[in-house]
Amino acid sequence: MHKFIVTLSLLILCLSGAMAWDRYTNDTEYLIGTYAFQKIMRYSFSVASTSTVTLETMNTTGDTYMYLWSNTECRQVARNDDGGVGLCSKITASLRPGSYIVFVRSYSSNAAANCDLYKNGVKVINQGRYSGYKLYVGTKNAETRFRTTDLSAGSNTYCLLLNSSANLIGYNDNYGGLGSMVVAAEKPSYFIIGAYSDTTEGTCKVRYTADNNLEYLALCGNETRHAVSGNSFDDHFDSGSYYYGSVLASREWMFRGSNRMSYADGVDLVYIHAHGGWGSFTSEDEVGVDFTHPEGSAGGGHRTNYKSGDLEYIAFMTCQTVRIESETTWGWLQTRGWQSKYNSDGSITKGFFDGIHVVVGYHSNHHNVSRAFLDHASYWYEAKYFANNLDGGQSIWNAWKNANKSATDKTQHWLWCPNVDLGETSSIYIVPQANESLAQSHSTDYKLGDSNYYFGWRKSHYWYD
Amino acid sequence: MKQIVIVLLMVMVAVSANAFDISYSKDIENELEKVVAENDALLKKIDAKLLKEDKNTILEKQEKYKKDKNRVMNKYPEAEEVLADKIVYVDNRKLKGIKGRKNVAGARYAASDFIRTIIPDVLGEGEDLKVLYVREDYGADQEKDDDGNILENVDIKTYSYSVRIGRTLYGQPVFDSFASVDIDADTNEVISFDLNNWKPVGAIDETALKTLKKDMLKKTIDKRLDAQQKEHANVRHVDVKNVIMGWVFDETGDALEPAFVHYGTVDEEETSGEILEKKYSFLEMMEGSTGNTGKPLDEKAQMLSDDETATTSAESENPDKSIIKEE
Repeated sequence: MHKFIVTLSLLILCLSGAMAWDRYTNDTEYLIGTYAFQKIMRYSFSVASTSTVTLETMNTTGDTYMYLWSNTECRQVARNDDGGVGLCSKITASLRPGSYIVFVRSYSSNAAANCDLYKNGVKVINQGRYSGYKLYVGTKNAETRFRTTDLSAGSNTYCLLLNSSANLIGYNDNYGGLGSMVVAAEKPSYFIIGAYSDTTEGTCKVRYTADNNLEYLALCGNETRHAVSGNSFDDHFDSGSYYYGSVLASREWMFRGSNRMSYADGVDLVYIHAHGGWGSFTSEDEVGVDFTHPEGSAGGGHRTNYKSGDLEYIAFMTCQTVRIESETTWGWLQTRGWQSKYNSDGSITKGFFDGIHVVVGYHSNHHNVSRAFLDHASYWYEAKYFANNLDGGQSIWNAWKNANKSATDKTQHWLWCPNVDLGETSSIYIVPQANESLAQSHSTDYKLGDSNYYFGWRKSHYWYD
Repeated sequence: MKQIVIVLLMVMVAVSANAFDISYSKDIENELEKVVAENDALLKKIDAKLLKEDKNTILEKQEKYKKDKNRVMNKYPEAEEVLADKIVYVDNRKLKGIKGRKNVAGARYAASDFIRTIIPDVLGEGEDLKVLYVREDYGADQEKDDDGNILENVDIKTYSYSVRIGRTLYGQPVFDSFASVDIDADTNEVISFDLNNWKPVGAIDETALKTLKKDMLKKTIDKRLDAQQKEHANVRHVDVKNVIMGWVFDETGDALEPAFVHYGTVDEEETSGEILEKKYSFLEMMEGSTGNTGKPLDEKAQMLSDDETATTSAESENPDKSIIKEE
């Protein structure tokens, strides 16, 4: 019995180790250097209803640079250098309901000074210390991860990441200890190293990891493992170029909470073969997974201010998950929860597409033509063709619809049989990313408020003679 | 547990012989030259991703076509048959029910016409093209006003059509032969095509097909069944195609796995009856073996008509039992 428990424990350890990958598991981490860092001033507040807020630094001997960030929207609202008195900063903005944070750093790197911070004319911080080491990180792609390690004794970092336009694109206090970690939502230029407080300043090393490998997760339902592995998707995906663990039985928790960072949001592409319904599918253990529930789904790293995970593409070989609910209106995209929206009170309801680029699936039922007509079921071929098409560099949508075509052809090829209907393929996408292939998974993620955050759908319908 | 096994036999035999000469009229000579020229121009427009060998194959076909045409015209300067006899079959009655905004009919015609154009000997006597299906790729993108607000207007756009074209010979489908043509919805121009699954005319023997007797095939099958097999076997269907398939069914009617999968080819010296016997001996072995190793008794029956059949045969010989159970 004891031996059994030990064996079981080892097995669980092995399994957990094998399953809990992240998107950088197969990538090399590089050291940028060792740096001394000082405090970045910050101030958090909430807004209950849409209102105008003015934030201003005052009474400083230094030069402030201020950012206003929305934690609710995970985006910078505004930034300012010298809009206030002298070298002070000032931001006035109309804010929607939500939580916000203000960061104040020194314009020059590691030039510590003190200042007051006023919100709507009321002093909220009295002579707080501000500084920050401004580290130029060179030309890097989106999805590059930066983190601080080897912190000096008693120190604690608090870091910001800026893009090439000096806009704030993410921040983090602690990740796996007292160090910080931020993943670039778009091409980064500066990593601002700060301390959590006056008393936690010190030195640290800064490292970065480029997300050079494309990762995917292949999930099966309770009857479809062989359609995901063994003769189909997993076997035909080029494992030499892509990192993956193995085909897994789908579970609801792979798409929620922190677990999704190691599963759905730990990869670029998720492929699911299971039973499905409008905006949902059924996991291997028969639990319904509502993908479009705003609080419950994987949706990319914009749901975190440091963007630790980021799923770009998802393929549902399921019935009706990607249902085009209306061809003549757009409201269903928001009602169903695909598209984020502003509510009447100015607050935001987040949708599934919060970092996602393209979703493909079936508008109709997905019909599996069994061995009564084929030597193998048609979805085996469909999965295989999809993998091959992706490997061949086709766009996500073309790879998907062409896989269906090829499987249909395969069926007709065997019997020359009319009316073999495998289903109507469909796709919902961010318009500028509609034709992306896997090679473009590092393109900028768009979210509500971005000019490129608008949607489209596609569908394949066919007629038999 | 006693398992009732029913064997469903579908025998489909198509036969082949030499291609027949095609005669052309003087009137169409210029037209044919024009077609060839158009083909050359069209090839230049074809997606650069197309494999070079595909282009070469087509060019070879065109060269052969030119030679054949010259040969025929030299031999039969008085030829009256016109290419119009080989018109593409498009049955507009099939178009009912299609939404008005979809130009499916145009796509069907454009694809069929393209096949007729690019394969010079696409149709011979007794042959006809048949559109298997048309797939429309369409959708809509949100539009925004000058202030970036998303408009309610939904402008549905059709991007392309994919047309699958098969071929019939004396009303029977020419199995294992279809072409895929993708048509741009705006211009009705071919944007890509795939002829990898197109069987040339010379592979079909019209004479043998004409003389094939279905009743004789049924009788031969019945003759080959022994008493025990007759208890559990039910020959439900015999048809004339160039493939033989059979499945083992359980008592619920669910197909367990293919009893055999085999393409039929007919040598000119053989009769259809002899061929059927040999193929049936293959079936007999499969039925007699519950393990279903799939190995035919007759090597002749193993003749495979193409690589696709070879792949399928190999798969049926090594069925993954766990997978079959799971499904």
